Amino acid sequence: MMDTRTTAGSYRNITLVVAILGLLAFALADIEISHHDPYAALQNILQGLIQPDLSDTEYLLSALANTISFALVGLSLAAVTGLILSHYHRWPLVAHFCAFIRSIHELFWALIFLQMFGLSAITGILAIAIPYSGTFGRVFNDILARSTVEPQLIVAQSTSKLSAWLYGPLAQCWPVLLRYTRYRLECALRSATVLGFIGLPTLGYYLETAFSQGDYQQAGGLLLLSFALIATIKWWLRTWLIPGYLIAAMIYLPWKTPLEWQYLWRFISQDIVPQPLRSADFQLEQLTSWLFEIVSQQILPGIWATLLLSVAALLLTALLALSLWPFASRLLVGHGQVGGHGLLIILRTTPEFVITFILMLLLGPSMLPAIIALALHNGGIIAYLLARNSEQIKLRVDQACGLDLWSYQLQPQLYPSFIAWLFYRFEVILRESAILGMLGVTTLGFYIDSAFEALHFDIALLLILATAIINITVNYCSLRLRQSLKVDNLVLL
Amino acid sequence: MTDAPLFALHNKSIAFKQHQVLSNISLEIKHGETVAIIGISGCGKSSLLKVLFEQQRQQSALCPQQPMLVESLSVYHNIYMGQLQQHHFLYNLINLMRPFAAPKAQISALTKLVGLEPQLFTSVDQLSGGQQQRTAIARALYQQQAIFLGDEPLSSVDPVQATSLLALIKSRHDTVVIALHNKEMALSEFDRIIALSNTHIIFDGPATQLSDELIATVYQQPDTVISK
Repeated sequence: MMDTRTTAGSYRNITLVVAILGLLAFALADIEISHHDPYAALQNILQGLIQPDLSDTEYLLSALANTISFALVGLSLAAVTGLILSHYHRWPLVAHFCAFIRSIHELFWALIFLQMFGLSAITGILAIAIPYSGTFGRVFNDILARSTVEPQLIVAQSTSKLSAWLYGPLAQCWPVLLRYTRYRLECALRSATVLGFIGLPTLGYYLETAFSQGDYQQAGGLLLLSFALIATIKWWLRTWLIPGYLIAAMIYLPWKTPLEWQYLWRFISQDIVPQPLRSADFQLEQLTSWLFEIVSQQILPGIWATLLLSVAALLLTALLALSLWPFASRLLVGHGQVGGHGLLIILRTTPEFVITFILMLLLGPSMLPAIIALALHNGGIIAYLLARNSEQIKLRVDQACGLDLWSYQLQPQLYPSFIAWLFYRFEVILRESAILGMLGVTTLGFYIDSAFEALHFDIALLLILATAIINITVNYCSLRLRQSLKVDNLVLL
Repeated sequence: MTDAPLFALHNKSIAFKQHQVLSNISLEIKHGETVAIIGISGCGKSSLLKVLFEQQRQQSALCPQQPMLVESLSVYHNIYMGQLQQHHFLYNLINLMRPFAAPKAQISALTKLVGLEPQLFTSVDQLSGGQQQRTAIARALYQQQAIFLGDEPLSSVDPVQATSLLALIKSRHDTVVIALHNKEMALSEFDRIIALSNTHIIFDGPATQLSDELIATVYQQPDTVISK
């Protein structure tokens, strides 16, 4: 009998698992369209996009400046901290610390700091800087570890470690580090935009206001502006301009809110202490029943909804990525790739949060908007990476063409990367799924947002901790899966 | 200078990736010798060189087989790495962004000798294999050590250049130990040959005493070893 244990076989199996779990999730999830007239709503939004109102330049400019300032300052702080953390990342304690701080979404960090510092610049900067530091710490470490220069062999023994590191691994990896940091700036701009949804004066704040007031023309203008901001990064962001931007951002940001030390202290010393522990006659029984109630009524249902949403979104992401990338590949559609590429840029520049928000206006509150939004954004990113990689595949002179080229040469060679990216993005999808709860889907974010609103900060913190644990667990499983499929090294940047 | 050998191995076994490549070898290399280590690829030349390097780290410049250049940096910066230890970190940091005049003059003179002057500020990833190898040699020269240890340092440069580069290496170091594939060069340019085969040293002596027969044995594919 023929040996059928090909490498492709293992990819086929994992694909089957994704498909079956995804279909199950779709069957169990709430995907009802509850809006009475989605077409009218769509028409309104499209109308707004076609005839955007960008006349009120004063607030637009300030929203734009705030968004860029939060992103730039937060990211710079994170890059420096991350570089230091990456140096010690081989210590398990530092690696776990990085994993922990990045497992909490920037919006959750923002909600915490909001209680401590109010709507101050510090809240926005820290909300971005902290989780991004954790990501930089790990990614910088991964990049530097790939360095092929062994300084101890080529420099004199007495060379200081710092100098050897500077001229060796750091110099060798500098272009990759820079490229990655640049990509993260794109993410930070999206994060800064979304921070507006909890009240910071960025584009998201005005976007939410405009939509909820039914001012679709203004909303359309803001949406286009946020696309333009990210699409034009390479023109407005020059390396030599960064110091100037940073100084301007530090001056511009709204620092004016004075720090209220008594609130800060109250938050740390009282508000976040579990409620049963605060009473004088504390009994263990009260604590356990308090915990049991939160776990059974909020954490477990929240985790279930988060997983359901993520797995359904994963399947749709996979389908979208596989069907979209050929349209952005020069090898398959020739000059048509420009159009495909443009579409993918729009998909990946729109934050999931904003797409979900808009889709909820169209389709009504259910998991469907969130599933579609996650798939559009992440599918767009994977499709973009696949299309880019397809052009690096070396082909024979007598290659096949059209569908044969796609099915025999391109798709099979790209599949391992596809699997690697898909599971890597699953981590991102899970993090976002939790956050989308703040828009009304009953994932963990929904319970967290409600707890903050009810001023139950102890419960909120416990829920955030649960979210972090779930994220870390899933990241670990995803990493092990990628390692066992031997595709881990394909998650390149 | 005393007569004590610079390098000494006594019944030494060397493993590479848990695989024994040399067993129970003994050798001594004295100050002032020029030694060629020959043998087919995989016979343990690189591993032997690394062991020698460990014995005299303080005064050796190593030119490894993988040139270990930092591709994103210029030829100038790669050569400068040879003297990183002589300056403070901050000096090195500034030099990375804006080269200082003194090292620039020294390195520029050095590149003239190895034929890389026009490429002084070209980044290494834009160079040919031979040019990269010459950069690695210049980096080793810039260390200004007494001993030069080279692992196939001339494999990608053309024969004429190879001879003049070897002369340059010899003129700037008291002791030279080079592993190389090119047997003509080994026989004509070195005082002493160490031939490795089948995990042993099968010849160690002046080039003039190396017979054709022995050379044939050295370069024989070790079929017998594999079939065992």
